[in-house]
Amino acid sequence: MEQVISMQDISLAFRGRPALQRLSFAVNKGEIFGFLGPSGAGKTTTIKLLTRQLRPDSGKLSILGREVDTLHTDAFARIGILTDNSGLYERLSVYENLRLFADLRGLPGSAVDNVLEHVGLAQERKKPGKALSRGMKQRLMLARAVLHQPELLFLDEPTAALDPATTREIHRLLTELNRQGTTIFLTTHNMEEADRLCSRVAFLDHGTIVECGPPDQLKLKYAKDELIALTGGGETLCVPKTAEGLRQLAGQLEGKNLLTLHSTEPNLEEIFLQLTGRGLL
Amino acid sequence: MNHLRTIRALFKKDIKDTGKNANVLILLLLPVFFCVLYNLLDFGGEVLPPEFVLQLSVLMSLCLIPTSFLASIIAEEKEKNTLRTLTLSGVTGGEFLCSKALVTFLYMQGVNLVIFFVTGQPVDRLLWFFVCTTLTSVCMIFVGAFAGLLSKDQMSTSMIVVPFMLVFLIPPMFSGANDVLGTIAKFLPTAAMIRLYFQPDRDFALNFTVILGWALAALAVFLLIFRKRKLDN
Ligand SMILES: Nc1ncnc2c1ncn2[C@@H]1O[C@H](COP(=O)(O)OP(=O)(O)OP(=O)(O)O)[C@@H](O)[C@H]1O
Ligand SMILES: [Mg+2]
Repeated sequence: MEQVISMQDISLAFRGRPALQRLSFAVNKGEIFGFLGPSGAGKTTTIKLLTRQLRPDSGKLSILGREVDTLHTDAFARIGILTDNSGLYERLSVYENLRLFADLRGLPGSAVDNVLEHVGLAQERKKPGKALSRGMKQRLMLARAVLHQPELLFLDEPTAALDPATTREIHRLLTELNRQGTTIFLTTHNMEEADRLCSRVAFLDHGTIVECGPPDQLKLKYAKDELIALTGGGETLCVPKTAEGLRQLAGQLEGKNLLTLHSTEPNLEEIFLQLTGRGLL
Repeated sequence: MNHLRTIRALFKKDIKDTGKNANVLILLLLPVFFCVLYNLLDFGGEVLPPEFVLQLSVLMSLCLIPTSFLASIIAEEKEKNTLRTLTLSGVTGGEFLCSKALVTFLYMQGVNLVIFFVTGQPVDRLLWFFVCTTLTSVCMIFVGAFAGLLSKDQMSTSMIVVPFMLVFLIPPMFSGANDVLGTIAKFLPTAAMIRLYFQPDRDFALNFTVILGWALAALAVFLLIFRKRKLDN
């Protein structure tokens, strides 16, 4: 498997206060990798390190097969970045904002129209940046990050300010890009988003990864071995997920009718809670 | 590795953006406004000599536009995080500054051209006028870029720009009225520019050396700071 991102033993402290502690992980080509963690966990800091906006105190990190330190500016043509400190030109229109980056990357104007359709800003193309709502700004910056169909895309909370309908639209766009070969590294607070989009997720807490893997596998791993039955009388029965448990259940169900029977799978939020003793928000 | 394409894209953006930026357009209008005003002044039949009006207005244009205008459009991109977005798209600091300096230079020469015609200068002197102002503006552009580089927002640019403006503007304006200022003015690029334009044959070597010396010194200081500080952070 070709590694597009690799971080080994990365540590970083801000004025003596550790933000990341010996962080190690790798993202393979073609993945959508989700970075989950509560506020202050170090998600944005990680993206800044990977995009050379910050330098680590120690450890090794590389993207697209090169150490980040030796990355040439040309490499930025292969990367797309959306972070909370991305800026836009307030006096220029939506179209002009994107046209600049199309020009910089040698793309035709049609690429701009195309991406505007995708993020649902085609109606807004003449509006100046300062007249956009927060969600529109977010979509404009996302459009800018994906305009050139980058090989590697960094997204810092891409849907944080968006309504459910737009969020779905954006998810469709990201899935489509991924299908065409873009590897995506995204941070989020949103469990559902991570669950729906990501092939793998990492849980970050206080600057270290406490768990990492595909969402489905994590759910299995942290599933309680229980079966839960709901009866017609509104009663909930709970038994171990074994042959013995099933026999127990059969006995308890005597004379009642069974409505549902299922094994419990925790969602990502519950797994995080189980691992760290605190929630994700 | 496509500097020209990058600079062209940035230049197009800078022209469009400054065209909508009232804060900096005012800086362009100021020298024109004063030029027209001085030209209309009438002290009971006595008017200001056009050479003097040209001198005052061009000095103002050269001390104001490459410094304040340039510094302020650089600092704004830092303040609004658009500079970071550009560098994360592979734009280098040099390309960014090149476009800004080019836009500023064009605006400044546009203003100078207006001044030239408002003060009724003979057209056959236009080329020489451009040579003198262009050479002198090199030093001023570095001052502006330097101020933009050191400031983190638009407000703080004036802290750096104003002292330079006073030094380059006041002595040549009042060099005739005060000996000390006159002596200082001998070695200032702005004063040398005025002398070079009006009297190309007198002290040519001295005036030319002063202008070139300042340009080279400004370039050296600028490169030193630029290497050290980079553009952002
Ligand atoms: N420039 C900075 N100077 C000092 N401390 C910083 C700086 N940037 C981040 N930190 C600290 O590093 C830690 C991690 O911050 P980071 O922004 O990476 O969190 P995050 O996971 O992105 O949080 P959020 O979900 O709120 O965006 C925090 O404790 C934060 O206070
Ligand atoms: Mg963050």
